[in-house]
Amino acid sequence: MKSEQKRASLGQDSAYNCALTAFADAVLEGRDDVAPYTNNYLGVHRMALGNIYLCVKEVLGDGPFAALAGVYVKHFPASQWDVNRYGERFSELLAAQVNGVKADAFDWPAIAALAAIEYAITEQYYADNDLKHGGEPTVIEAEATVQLHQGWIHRLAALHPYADIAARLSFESSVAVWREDLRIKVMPVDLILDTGDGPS
Amino acid sequence: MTAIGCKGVGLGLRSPHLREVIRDTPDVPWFEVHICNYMGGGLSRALLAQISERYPLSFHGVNLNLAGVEPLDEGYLKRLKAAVDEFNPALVSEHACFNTHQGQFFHDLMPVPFTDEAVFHLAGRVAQVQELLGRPILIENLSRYFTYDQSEMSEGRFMAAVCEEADCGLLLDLNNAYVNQVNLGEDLNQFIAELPLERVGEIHLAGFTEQNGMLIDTHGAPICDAVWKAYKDFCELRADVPCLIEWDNNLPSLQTLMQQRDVAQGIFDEASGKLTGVVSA
Repeated sequence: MKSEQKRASLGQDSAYNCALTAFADAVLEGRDDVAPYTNNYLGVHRMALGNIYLCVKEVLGDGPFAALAGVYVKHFPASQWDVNRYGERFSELLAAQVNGVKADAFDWPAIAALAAIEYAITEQYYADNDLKHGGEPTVIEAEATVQLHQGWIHRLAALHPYADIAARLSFESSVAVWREDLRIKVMPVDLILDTGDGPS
Repeated sequence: MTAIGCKGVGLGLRSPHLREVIRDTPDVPWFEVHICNYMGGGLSRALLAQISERYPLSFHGVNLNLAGVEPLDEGYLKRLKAAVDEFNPALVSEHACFNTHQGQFFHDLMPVPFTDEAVFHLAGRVAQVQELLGRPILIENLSRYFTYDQSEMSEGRFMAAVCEEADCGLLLDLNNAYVNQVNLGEDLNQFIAELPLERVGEIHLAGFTEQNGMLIDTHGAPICDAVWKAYKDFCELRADVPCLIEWDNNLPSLQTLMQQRDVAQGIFDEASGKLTGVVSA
């Protein structure tokens, strides 16, 4: 290192730190002179949701999905550097729509469960390896009456081609999502117990 | 795994094309990946391992927060080092930007003022990363939509000073430089003239989108004529620098990417032939 003495860590009051703080604040406030950055901040996180919740987006349609994604981005800032893991609470926002103005427009409990499954698929896609399987299985629970529509399950499988998804997904028992080698498995826990197949 | 060099014109490899590349093994000399997508384990990492068996790789990062003021993320660096050690990519690069500030993750490449203070701060962090990885990295110039009043020097002089101070390489993104020329009135040729060309280790070419009278570096369109010309001009100066076609938004088919790659490879070959006295067919 050539100029060690000049590389002392920057204090809170350094001109550099203050400049970055002012810029970052302007982006979050949506100031006109940094509009492309504000647009990008909103856009990149909306896009992340669209990439993760592929089937939810199809079920809701582009307009309703974009509206809900926009609400989520405004209220849930990213909590880590990995944008692929953004949106971990999106299913909660969807579930809460049973109390919203469009409560009757969709089967919100089922869509929220679908979202939880899609997020778990993404988690497993990026999960750390252990000796044999992927990350720890994700177990998803919902009201026993929740059942994913058959058409959704077909689309879920088509949109996540590296996932093996049970032909029927109801929540009379929990649904487990885990990885085996290069495949991601999505299966009700009671079916796993019946067949003996499942994460070990 | 042995490091193999990146030569000629490669492609930015995006997740939707991973399986196609593994299956069809297209004729591409090397691929660049956004390493942030492969720093866990998982399926993505397993697919990358398959790609690396056939192709040289370049690792490109977007989350290191090199110019940020918070300490570098030790967990991120640990994962990056593990990936670099496992795959031994030919190139490792990051951006001269900040992504995170006061705990807020922006997932964007945000600019810094071009000051001496910034030079030493950024260079110190680049040096820290290079020391940890045990190898030099390249830092990339940004597309920018804002100019700090505090800036004391041009971007070209800033990048040159950081590279000199940190003894690192430079990833020259010509589309970014063109976007800055149009949006901010900065002269692309002057910018390049101020750079230490001997430190340029990779070129990026991409397309932009016009929004509200500005060019936005979306990587969502074909490369424009002005950027092709800038690439030709650069190749007149140096025709041995690996070049990459980047496309992220509105990702087209691999075939379309290959067409863009072929254009760039033609320029590269012609310039290489001129410099070596060999005329390409």
